Amino acid sequence: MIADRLLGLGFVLVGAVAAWSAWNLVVPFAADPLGPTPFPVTVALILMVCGGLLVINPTHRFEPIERKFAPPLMVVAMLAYALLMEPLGFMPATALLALAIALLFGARILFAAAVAVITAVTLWVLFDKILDLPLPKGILPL
Amino acid sequence: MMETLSALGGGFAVALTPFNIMLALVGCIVGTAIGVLPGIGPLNAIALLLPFCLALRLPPESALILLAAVYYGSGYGGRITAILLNMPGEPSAVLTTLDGHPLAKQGRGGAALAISGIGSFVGATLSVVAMTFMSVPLAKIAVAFSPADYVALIAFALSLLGAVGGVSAPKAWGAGCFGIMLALIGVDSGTGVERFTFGSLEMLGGIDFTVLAIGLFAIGEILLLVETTMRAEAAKIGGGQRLTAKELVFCLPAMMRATGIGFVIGVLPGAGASVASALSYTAEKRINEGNGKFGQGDMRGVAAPETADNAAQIGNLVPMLSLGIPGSGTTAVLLGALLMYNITPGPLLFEQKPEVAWGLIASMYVGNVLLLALNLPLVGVFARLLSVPASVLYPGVLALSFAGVYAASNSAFDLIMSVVFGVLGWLFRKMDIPLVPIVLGFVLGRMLEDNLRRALALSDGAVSALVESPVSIGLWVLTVGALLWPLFLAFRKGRA
Amino acid sequence: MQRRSVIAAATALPFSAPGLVSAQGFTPQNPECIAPAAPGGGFDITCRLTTRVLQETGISPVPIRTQNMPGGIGAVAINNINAQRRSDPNVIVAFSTGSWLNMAQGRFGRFGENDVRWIGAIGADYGVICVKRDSPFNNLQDLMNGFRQNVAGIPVGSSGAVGSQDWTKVALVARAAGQDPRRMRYVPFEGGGAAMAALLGGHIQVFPGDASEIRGQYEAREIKILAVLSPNRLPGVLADVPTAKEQGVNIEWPIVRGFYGPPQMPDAAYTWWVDAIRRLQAHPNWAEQRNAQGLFEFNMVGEEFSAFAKARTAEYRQLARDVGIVPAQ
Repeated sequence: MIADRLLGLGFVLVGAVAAWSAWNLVVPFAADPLGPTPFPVTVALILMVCGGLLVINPTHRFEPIERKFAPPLMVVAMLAYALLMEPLGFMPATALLALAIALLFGARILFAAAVAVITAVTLWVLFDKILDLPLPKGILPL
Repeated sequence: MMETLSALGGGFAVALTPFNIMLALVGCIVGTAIGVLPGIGPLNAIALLLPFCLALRLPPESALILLAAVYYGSGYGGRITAILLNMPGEPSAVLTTLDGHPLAKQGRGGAALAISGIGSFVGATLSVVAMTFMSVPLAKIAVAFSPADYVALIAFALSLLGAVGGVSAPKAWGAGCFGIMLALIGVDSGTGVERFTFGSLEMLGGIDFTVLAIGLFAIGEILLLVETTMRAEAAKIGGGQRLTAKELVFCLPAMMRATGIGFVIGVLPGAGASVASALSYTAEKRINEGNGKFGQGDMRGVAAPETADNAAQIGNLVPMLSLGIPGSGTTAVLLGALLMYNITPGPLLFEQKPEVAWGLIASMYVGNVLLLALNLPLVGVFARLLSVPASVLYPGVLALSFAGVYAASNSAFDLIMSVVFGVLGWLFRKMDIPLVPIVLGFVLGRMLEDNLRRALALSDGAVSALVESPVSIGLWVLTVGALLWPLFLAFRKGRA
Repeated sequence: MQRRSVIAAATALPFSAPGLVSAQGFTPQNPECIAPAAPGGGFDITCRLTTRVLQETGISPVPIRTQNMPGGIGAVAINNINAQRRSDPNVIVAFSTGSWLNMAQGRFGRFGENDVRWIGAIGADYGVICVKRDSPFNNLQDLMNGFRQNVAGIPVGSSGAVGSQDWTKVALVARAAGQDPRRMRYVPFEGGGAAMAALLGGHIQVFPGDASEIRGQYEAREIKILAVLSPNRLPGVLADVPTAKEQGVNIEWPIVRGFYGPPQMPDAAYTWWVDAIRRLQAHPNWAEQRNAQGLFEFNMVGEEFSAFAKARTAEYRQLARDVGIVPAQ
């Protein structure tokens, strides 16, 4: 029950911020009869009504998390990846990410390391060499 | 008629040279692969291939045959990850996850892949036939479609949104509204003011669809799976895999309807494959209200959006070839390719360069046969993806998704955004919030506002302009019907 | 050996022969062209095709790779080079006239025309004013008279927001007619293709497009072109369309495409890049390659071009203030 209430509150909050933000737009001049405000305000109000209904009449329980540590660890690994991409380079960052995810999915360390290296190298070749989309080299002397 | 056939014959003379068949095959393979890659779409792939075509000095018709094959081939690829992993590779494959993934979980991933491949073939081939004979009148109708008509069309599509959910109305509509709000982020094209950017430069151009879809679907799904490590739920490879003839016949009416919907919507320059697949799925579900198990693994729920997707892709080429008007970003790049060969795309293309125009059309008959021949035998190979251990598959899928996002944007900001959407996608799953309305709201919401404002600007604010044309009146009637239909069913049920 | 090559370089100085290391001894290493767009966008094509020719002709001894950096309609790219690559000699960024408008309207954050080193233009497309085949307007004066009668009565549509290039083209026409551009009935579409469809469908009356994208419809006489916004008539199919100037209206709208470098790009590197673009423009193969990109000749590099870019941006800034796109500061 609490999950639907929280979600409803979330909808109300997002809707309120959006409506307030759209309401306060300063338009240099009215180029079209409707302008940038009414549509988002209407959608935000519907969102708030939906949120309100969920708060009043919750039906769903938050499904319990089985391995409580795993999702947060994975989020940390992904954020670290985003931040390390440019300083470390694509291949080291990708290898670290793949290593972490493989371990989280229960791989043994050596196996995970092999997965990590193969994933990083394969993707580097695919994107940088075949598709010609340059990726950061970082610390590797390529 | 005879004239058209002889022109088409000339086209086949071009398309059936061994060199051009080989190029079509290469294009089909690349297109399918591009469709599978989550971050890279046909638009990107064509742009990357174009310099090669010029460097290899391919003649224009050959270059177009290759590039177009990448374009329509991508429609075959997007479904593979959508069905097997619940991660759509292309925007238009989002709807395919709804029934495709449940089928895969029931051990029928192979059958779902097969029906989607056949659907893609049927939709594309019938559309090419329609294009062969009715290109010019269709293009005339397409330009006559006014902003007010678009408003009615999108309203109709949104009215069917309730059919997607399977959850309570506040959740489905709340999710849809949330998707619309996300789409409104960025510079407003009507006035040039910034909306919901909160001072961030990265947000000025809005949220990229790829970033949203990879977050909600790929990352959200993997976060859900990592909770239980490897619940070998989908790995029932073997018995009951094959698609039966009975199932195929069962899906045929859905495919026919989806071809019609997809092709017509594809011809309109202001809509696209995503709208087509959404509309055909929801329409199919409404038509079969109470019969079938949509959302839990109905074959028609796979056949309809996949057929419509490919039909719309072909439809999109109609205004491009007969009027020189690109209906989407991807067809704009295809047009750009013609320009690079010093061919002016426009209404005279069929007269001035018949070998290019008819060669392309003929090559699409060939290409779609090649795609079917490529895809059906490979169904088993694709389905075996699920027998790859989770500790290999998911690190690879996640890294591939991120690499796609980063390679196309060089932006760590986009990576972080996709993680944020990933966490949201995970939470939404835990709270039983459907993701498809979010995506449909994202795609349709912006189109609805833009066209509403266009229509009102053209009518100088007169709301009556929204219901002036017969097309818009018809669509509004359908919209009201779609909204009232569940109430009618409930009423009848109550009486019985 | 070392000394000989220095002497060779010194004697080569006034000529800068193709293929040789340039005078100041700068050779690009792993050079990159940043396209502030996703693969397939306009800037992406500018980068990919131009760098290919630079390499094929031997002007650049090494391949120049294209890096895509969309986001914030170009804002992310200019911020990136100002923040992280301020003095990088090996990076250039593609730009167009639209970038000048964005700088003028403060859409690139705090960065403007003085925060980059302008290298040169590779060519230009030109704005055109199109109407449908059966339109009552036959020339620019007709349209201006129409605007004078009721500026809000003629629906104009194109891709791009209010304040964008397409809007500005027709706003200049309205202003030349003595009307307030803010009162125009402007309808933005998702891309030039959708706007052309709306013109052919009769939903809008005027489409201010680009010369390269409307040739096919003009050749088939589906549309009339009231004026090309170029200094002289354009070659090819559009040769019979008069310029705005010929019709007594002093409006030009070149969509210039080219490259800039980071704000502190070393002089040696800057000279090398300027020279590379100059040699590209002089190369016999370039005209065909440039046409393939839908660009007409527009040769201007180095200091001359830098002054041009800054003057244009200042002009657009004034225009944006005049018509109230940005609040006057």
